[in-house]
Amino acid sequence: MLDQGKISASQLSLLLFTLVGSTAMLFIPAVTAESAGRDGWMSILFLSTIFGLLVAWVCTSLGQHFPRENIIEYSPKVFGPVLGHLISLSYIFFFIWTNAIIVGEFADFMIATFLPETPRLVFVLIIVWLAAYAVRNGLEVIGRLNQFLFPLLLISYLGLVVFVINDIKLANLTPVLENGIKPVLKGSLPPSAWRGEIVLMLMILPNLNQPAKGRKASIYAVVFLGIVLTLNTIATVGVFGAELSSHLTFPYFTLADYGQVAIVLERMEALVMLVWVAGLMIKIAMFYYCGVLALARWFNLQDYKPLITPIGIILIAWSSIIYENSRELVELISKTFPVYAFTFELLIPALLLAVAAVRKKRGGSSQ
Amino acid sequence: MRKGFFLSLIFLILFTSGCWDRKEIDELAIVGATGFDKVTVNGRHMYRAISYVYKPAEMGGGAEGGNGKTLAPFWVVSELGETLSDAEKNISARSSRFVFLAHSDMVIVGERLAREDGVDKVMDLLLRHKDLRMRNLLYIAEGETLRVFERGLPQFESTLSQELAGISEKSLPIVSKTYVPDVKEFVYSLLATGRDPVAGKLEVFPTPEELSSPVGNEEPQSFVRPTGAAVFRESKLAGWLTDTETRGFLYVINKAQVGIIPLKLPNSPQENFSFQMTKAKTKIIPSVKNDNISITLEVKAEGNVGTMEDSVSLAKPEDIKKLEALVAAEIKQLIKNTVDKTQNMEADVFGFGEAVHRKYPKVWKNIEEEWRNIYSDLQVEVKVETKIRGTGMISNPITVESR
Repeated sequence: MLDQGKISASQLSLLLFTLVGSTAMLFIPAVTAESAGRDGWMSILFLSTIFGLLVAWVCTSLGQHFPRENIIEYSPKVFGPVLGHLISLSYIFFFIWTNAIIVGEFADFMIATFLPETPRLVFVLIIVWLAAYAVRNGLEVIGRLNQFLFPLLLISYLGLVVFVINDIKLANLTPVLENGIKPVLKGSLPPSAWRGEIVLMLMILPNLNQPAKGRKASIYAVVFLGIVLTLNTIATVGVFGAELSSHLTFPYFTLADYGQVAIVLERMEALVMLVWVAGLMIKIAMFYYCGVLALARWFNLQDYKPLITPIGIILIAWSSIIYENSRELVELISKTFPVYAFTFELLIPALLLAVAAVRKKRGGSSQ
Repeated sequence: MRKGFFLSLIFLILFTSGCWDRKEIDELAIVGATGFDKVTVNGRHMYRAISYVYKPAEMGGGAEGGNGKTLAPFWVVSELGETLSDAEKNISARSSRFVFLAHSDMVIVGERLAREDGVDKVMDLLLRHKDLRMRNLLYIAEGETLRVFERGLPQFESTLSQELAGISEKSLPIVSKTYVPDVKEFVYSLLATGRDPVAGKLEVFPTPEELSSPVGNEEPQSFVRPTGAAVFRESKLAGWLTDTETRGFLYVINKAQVGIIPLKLPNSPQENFSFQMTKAKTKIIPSVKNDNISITLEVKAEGNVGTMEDSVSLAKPEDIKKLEALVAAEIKQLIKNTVDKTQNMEADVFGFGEAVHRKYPKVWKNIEEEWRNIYSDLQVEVKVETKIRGTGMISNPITVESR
């Protein structure tokens, strides 16, 4: 194993929560309101949770088949060397490509809301540099850092709902299912793709100190995410209504901006965002870590650290050209990304699992 | 390792000082209120943006200019432009400091702009702006906005925007005669199907002191006060509601809180009894019977006896019951008047359409297109139930009957 660091089941659970939550929080209410209108919360609570559970089940099942290996190691064993290595390579692409989108999202968000005059490259450089430092220190450090940040993240996510509780009109959620179930199904694609990002488990499950607890941990993360994201969406639509919510670029931020408790607690957006940026750093570090680790494994290197800088440079460059304007980004994450996501998050892992089961491949104890 | 540590420190110095977007407080022109007008200059339509900028240095009070005259703690700056955003940007060209909107309390739109162009383009401009908060109040000025800023001198606070914000937030709810939404509320109603928006209304008055003083003053004193409300049909101003009509509106949208309703007792020539509102709750109940849509409003109002200038006994429960019926009839009339007026304007400010939509989504699909027509002769039934809880600190009136 390239990284000897160990994380506990609860650390895995919290990592998966931060992994999905930090960007989903920001974009999901608007993306679902665009397609599912006021029924967006249903897309998030029911359908994408089911999808997330499915991904969790498949990933942890693979983890049980190959307890000491990650997907890069066992896919050649299952599919044969040529196809297997191709699939591994495509996963490396998926990790880095997704990460480039996330880094871009972060930079554009900061420019749009707080620091319009700062060059985009500065945000990209800083966040990638920070993430690179985290990756260099390994998964154990990322896990512990996230454990420390998690309470703050949770306070910021749920505290926001408290800030606006006086302005939430639940009547804005009616009439329920006005146009039938179809828009809800359509609206559940992006949040499902997001929830499926827990597929990163395929890279980090071997580092779990108690592998048997992996499944439970990931299920907790998926369900808890469902609840928090649903509350967030209900709050957004409850305050702004479905029409206005779908007009907003960053509903979560606007909500923080609008929130007011008594007269004392207002203009909390800066504090909320401070915590959010920390969560986002964890997310970027996670994808970064998986990309670097996978590539090192693919090349059969003894150490993954030499790859941190080159991949960081690729990230910086790619995130600067991956989309040209904010509408392209929304198209990308609501239309294109789900296609990739379903392939990499469910289709390939499920195929792997099926073939492994049929061919009775099991990972031996490598060490 | 040591090298890496120092390198990190250098990076920190570079990146955490925030050099690009640094905005020192003494380099900001903090805007308290933003206004927009439509004007005609040499036969061409142009837009005017107005910023009401605080001058913190003069706000402590007592700062004096060179000639001994007290400097105003605010600066009204207005600029013309081809479009709204052009005009707004032109203000920056006049300001030595960065125009900072994050502390703006209200947006005021001129009557002509609201009537001819609609407020939607103002909203688009403002919501696209990252600094302006949706908590801003939205007022429509009777006449031009510039007049409000120039003539409306603050009476109590040091600036107009602070005064209006204070009035809107603290005083209006305890009078319940005017209505002002925040930008979020307005845009919500604008975008919602089956609901038309309402904004606040500002009027400039001469002060009572001015009216009674001898003619010939150089600068006539005047003040600004919110009155009634401004009714919109979609994004365009359709008309005004008076104070009493606004009260009917407030009852329907559940915003009627504290206030006084003057009433006439039977067999009396003038108002001589007042009902002190304490709380009210209204349910909008739409019903559809054989393609016939009607709305029932169930109002539950509570209050006390405010004043009683006639020698009517208030000692027995039956006496109170009689008054309750009287108050109920009055509230019903208030609501009826407002409903009639908005039906004439074809502006569904109560969200009756939205209520139908929520309860009968299938029916709504067929009537959505022609809702405006349906609304204008919609049958609205008002049921009012009033409770007089108390008579204040005295029971029978003090009034002595003259013989």
